[in-house]
Amino acid sequence: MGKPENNVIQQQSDQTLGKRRSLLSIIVAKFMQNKLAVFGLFTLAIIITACVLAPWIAPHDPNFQNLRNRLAPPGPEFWLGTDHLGRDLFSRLLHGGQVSLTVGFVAMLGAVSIGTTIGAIAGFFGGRVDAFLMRLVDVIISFPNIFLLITLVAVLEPSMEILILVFALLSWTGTSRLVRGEFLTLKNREFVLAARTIGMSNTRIIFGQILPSAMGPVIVAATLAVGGFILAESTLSFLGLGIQPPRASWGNMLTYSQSVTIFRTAVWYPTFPGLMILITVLCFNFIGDGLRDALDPRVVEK
Amino acid sequence: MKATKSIFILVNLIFMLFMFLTACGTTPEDTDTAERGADEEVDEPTGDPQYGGTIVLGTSGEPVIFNALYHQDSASADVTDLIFAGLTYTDESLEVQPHIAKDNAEISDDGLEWTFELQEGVLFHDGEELTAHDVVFTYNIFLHEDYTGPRAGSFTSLESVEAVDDYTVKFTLREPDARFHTLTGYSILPEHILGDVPIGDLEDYNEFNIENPIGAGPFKFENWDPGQSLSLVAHEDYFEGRPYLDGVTFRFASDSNALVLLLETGDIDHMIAPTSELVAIETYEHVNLSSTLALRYDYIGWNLQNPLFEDVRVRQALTHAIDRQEITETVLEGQAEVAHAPVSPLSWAYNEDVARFDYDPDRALELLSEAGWEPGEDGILEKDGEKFSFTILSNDGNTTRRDIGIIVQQYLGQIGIEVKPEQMEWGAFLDKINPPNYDFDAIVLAWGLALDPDPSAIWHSKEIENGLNNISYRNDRIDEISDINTTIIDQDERAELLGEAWAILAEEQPYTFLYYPNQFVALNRDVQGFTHHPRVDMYKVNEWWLNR
Repeated sequence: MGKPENNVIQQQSDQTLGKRRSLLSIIVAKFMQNKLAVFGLFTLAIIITACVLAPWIAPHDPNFQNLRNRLAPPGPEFWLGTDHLGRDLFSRLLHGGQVSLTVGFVAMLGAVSIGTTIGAIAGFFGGRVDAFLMRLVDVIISFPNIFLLITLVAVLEPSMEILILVFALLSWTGTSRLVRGEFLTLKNREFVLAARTIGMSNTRIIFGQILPSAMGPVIVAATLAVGGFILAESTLSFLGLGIQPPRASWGNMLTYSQSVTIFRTAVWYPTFPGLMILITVLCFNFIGDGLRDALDPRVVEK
Repeated sequence: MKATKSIFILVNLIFMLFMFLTACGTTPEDTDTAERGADEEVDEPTGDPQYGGTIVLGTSGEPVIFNALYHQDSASADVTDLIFAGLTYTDESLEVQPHIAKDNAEISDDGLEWTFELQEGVLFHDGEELTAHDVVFTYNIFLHEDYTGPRAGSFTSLESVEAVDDYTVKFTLREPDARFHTLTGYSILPEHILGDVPIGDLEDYNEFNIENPIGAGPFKFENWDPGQSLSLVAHEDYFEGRPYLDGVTFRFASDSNALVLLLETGDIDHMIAPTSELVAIETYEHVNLSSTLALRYDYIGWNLQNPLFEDVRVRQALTHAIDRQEITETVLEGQAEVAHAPVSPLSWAYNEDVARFDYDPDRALELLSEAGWEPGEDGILEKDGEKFSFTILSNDGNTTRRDIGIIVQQYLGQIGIEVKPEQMEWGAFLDKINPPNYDFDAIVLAWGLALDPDPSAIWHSKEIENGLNNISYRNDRIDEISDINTTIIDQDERAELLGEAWAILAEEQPYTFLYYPNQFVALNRDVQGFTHHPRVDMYKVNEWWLNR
């Protein structure tokens, strides 16, 4: 972010409620101009709503097997067909979406909280604290991510909770660097000096003064991270290390459909979970891009 | 423990087989499948066999060692079966037939002396003749105290082996052993190459075992490029006549999906086809499918060390609650028969007359109730405040077993038993379920059976501590039958005794016997002369030829 613009935002946000609203409205207006982002938000809203309401919407028990009706094509009873054990694909997609989205959002919240806190402390205090924390980040980054994930999940026995925990503990480094960078530029600004002068505590300066100004890039990173976590969950589930049967997730539905015969004779089975992953991750990326543009004051000028 | 080990080499083989979703076997008659052969498969351009061409075999298992005295996996066995020859072999009806030997053994009246006459002019790949001295050399390795391989236990009854002359070999047993004829098929090793290697070092003698194995079999080892391919070329002086094929190449692929795609493009000519891919393979016009009942059964094993499964009524109830007929008709596409006892219908010792626990959930609930299990508040069965809940484990990479775990979860869920299916990597899985860990509740697995039906290895209580009886089954009568059955030479008498064992095991249900599966081999139509063997994948490859 450019320096002058940050000042502007800071001053505005410190002032009256009315002006804040106008800042928000500027952001919203800018976001709405991005058609892809709006489309993404809209689509995602539908997907999330459907998944949240899965227990009421889903026409069948997602885990009920009817072996006599395996790999049935889409039709009036099974809207998207059935899987290799005769389970309703539509119901499984909705319930699987719950799992995938939960993993995505909760892991994001965890990673962003850890990353923001560590980045803020490192950037604000600098010196040895900074050096220590950033070396910690270096260490974590230098592990090949997917192998570390696979190892950890395998050792800890795969489950949704473990997945979330592992994702959160391994993925906060990007956010922490981002936040640290923001803090390095912001901590010597006048408003921080002013806050110090009136005797505000470090905690209040960090979380009350500087952090709100640094939130823009964090929000963008967080949005993109949700998509990333959904993909990571799919990858691990695909490898059999993620969500365990019979519970559905989009990733493990793809695993089960991994067979030449299914590709030839029941192409809907891998297609639908694949599409759901694709669309959802794409939506998060569109929204992330839209937010980046909306939150970045430089774009206003263009 | 020793006896166990010998047979269980075979068992290990099976493990590997299962792992890759393959089994072995084929119908002798033709290359059409029994029920699913495509209608237009009337081709079979028969004609005189012709020489030439190289066949490419697709497999997902990489071999380890090319020495039948030491290998423990099916991928290595497939290769050694082509490179080496033994005194005898087992044909597709599971009868032992002479191979290098001129005829079956001449057995003395007391059953203790087995004499084989060898064919003359059998040459190793390096041109040296195979004689009785090589046979003696090979079998003495099994008897040697420094022998490090897994097969010593098979030969506990063998006292000595000696060469009467260059072409006559005599085995002397300590006691009659009904299994012994199935043990005479081991690969004969060349004494002129290995004679000076200390027996204790033989297993690690890679110059022979890996780099340059020399046998008297139909194909010579040429080259192995690990992870890629392994090639063998015809042995020009093979004693049964030069093989029709110029060579055999094994092509390694990561999994069955990759193999099916290679089959589709014609890059491989042969693969063991998983049942789940038959529908796709049937659509390939250039491929024939052959099927035969495999010498194996699949099962769910209940860990009898777990108090949940102590009561025989509970185990019977579990079997009653699982619709095996539906599983075979759907997941296995009808290509399996429901099993009721731990013996294959292919075996002469098969006994049909055993207790059956067909699908009957009401009866299952009755039995459970008799055993003290009643539904709790949440619908899950309880006894003394403990819930009926357990984990069913299988190895990953095997989709059929994974699915059976999930299916059983639903069947048992319907009568109020909570099941959690889990999968583990093969090595970790074996480590967890086998002694000394016994760390499982239930497992989905299969046994590829040894040619001899002796039940000792899996069911004798002495095999609990260190053998294959990892479910800790214990029954005095089974122990007794295991101990005496191999000393009974008369096959009918022995079959009757073994029939009693199968009946006891069927009644006690230490396993839920699932099914006897068919094995499918997918073959390019150009491949002729193929014979489907229920247990041996590389069977009479010297008679295969290419119509190209």
